[in-house]
Amino acid sequence: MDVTDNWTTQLRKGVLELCILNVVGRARVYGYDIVRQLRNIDALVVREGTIYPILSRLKRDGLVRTSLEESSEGPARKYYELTRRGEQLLAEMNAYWDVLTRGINELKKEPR
Amino acid sequence: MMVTPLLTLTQEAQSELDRYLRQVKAALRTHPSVDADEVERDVRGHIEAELAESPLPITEDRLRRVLDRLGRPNQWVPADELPIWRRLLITLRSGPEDWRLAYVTFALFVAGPLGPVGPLLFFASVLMARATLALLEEEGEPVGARRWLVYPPLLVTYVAVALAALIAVPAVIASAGDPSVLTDARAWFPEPFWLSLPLVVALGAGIWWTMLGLVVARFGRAIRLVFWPFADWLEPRHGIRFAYVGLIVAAAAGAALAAVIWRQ
Repeated sequence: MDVTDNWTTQLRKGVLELCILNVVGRARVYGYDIVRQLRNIDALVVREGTIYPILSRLKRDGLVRTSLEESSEGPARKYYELTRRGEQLLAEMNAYWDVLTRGINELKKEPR
Repeated sequence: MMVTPLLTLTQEAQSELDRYLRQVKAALRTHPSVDADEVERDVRGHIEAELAESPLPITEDRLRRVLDRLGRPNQWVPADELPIWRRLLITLRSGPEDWRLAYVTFALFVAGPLGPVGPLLFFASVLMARATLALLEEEGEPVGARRWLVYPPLLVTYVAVALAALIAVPAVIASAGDPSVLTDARAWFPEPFWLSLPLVVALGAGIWWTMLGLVVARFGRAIRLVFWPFADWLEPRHGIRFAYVGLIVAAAAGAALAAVIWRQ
């Protein structure tokens, strides 16, 4: 694994949790739908199964909660939504992300 | 929670799915921050949702494409989040040929008879053998030729435990024939002693084996766990059959003993 691969792997691991929280933060969503929405981010190439242990950990940490709902297409589906604590954390993470990316974008600009 | 299977799979695909879900649970069960059962249910739901539009029955190829996108369960959780003992095992195991753990197991086993710490080393080799097999199962790798290094400590232990369980009671009864062990025991037996002793031993063995058979039938899962991975075939019916054997031996020995007593 070269330096770039290693760096992107580490970065993806870091932002995956942020992406999951953002998907769950937009609306009540069931597990498979989270995976589908994350597929749309080309740079976020992860093994799809990685998402489920993270959801389990977020639930254990009290950041998301789940509820079962009957589905017309088969067995009951488990829906995820943010808890109050999850919403607070997501707001903090997004704010931090914005500051970070803004700072990096400044650095990428041509020197004055 | 019982999950109703939504999909119809071919036999090969079903075996593949079962194997994969076992790997999911095995990979996550020791991880303190993850509920392995819950993740297994989520993954099952994911697979069902992914294949809902596919023509039935689902073939192994089609299932494999979904599982490939899900990835290998042992890579879902970063290694630095694993418990120390599992990290140590993985480090030991990941050599140039992935045989290190098996070599360590065998080395401990061979060193077992040496010196005063021998029993400890032997015990360590048994634990290491089981850990090696669990890790291989978790990663979906066949044991292959590593069995020659990993199985010996397990076989020695399991055979010893099984033999001890089978002959413990008959051996205690048979010791009545040895005056240095039970001096007054001969008085309890009907004459002639040389005939009644083996009959009482057989009666005791029969009753004991009946009880063992019932234990196997009732607590099969625990027995399979103790003798893992060699007793995976064990089912309640095997215990029942063994109990019948014990019952027949006990009945035959009891009848013969009654005849001896009646002739007196």
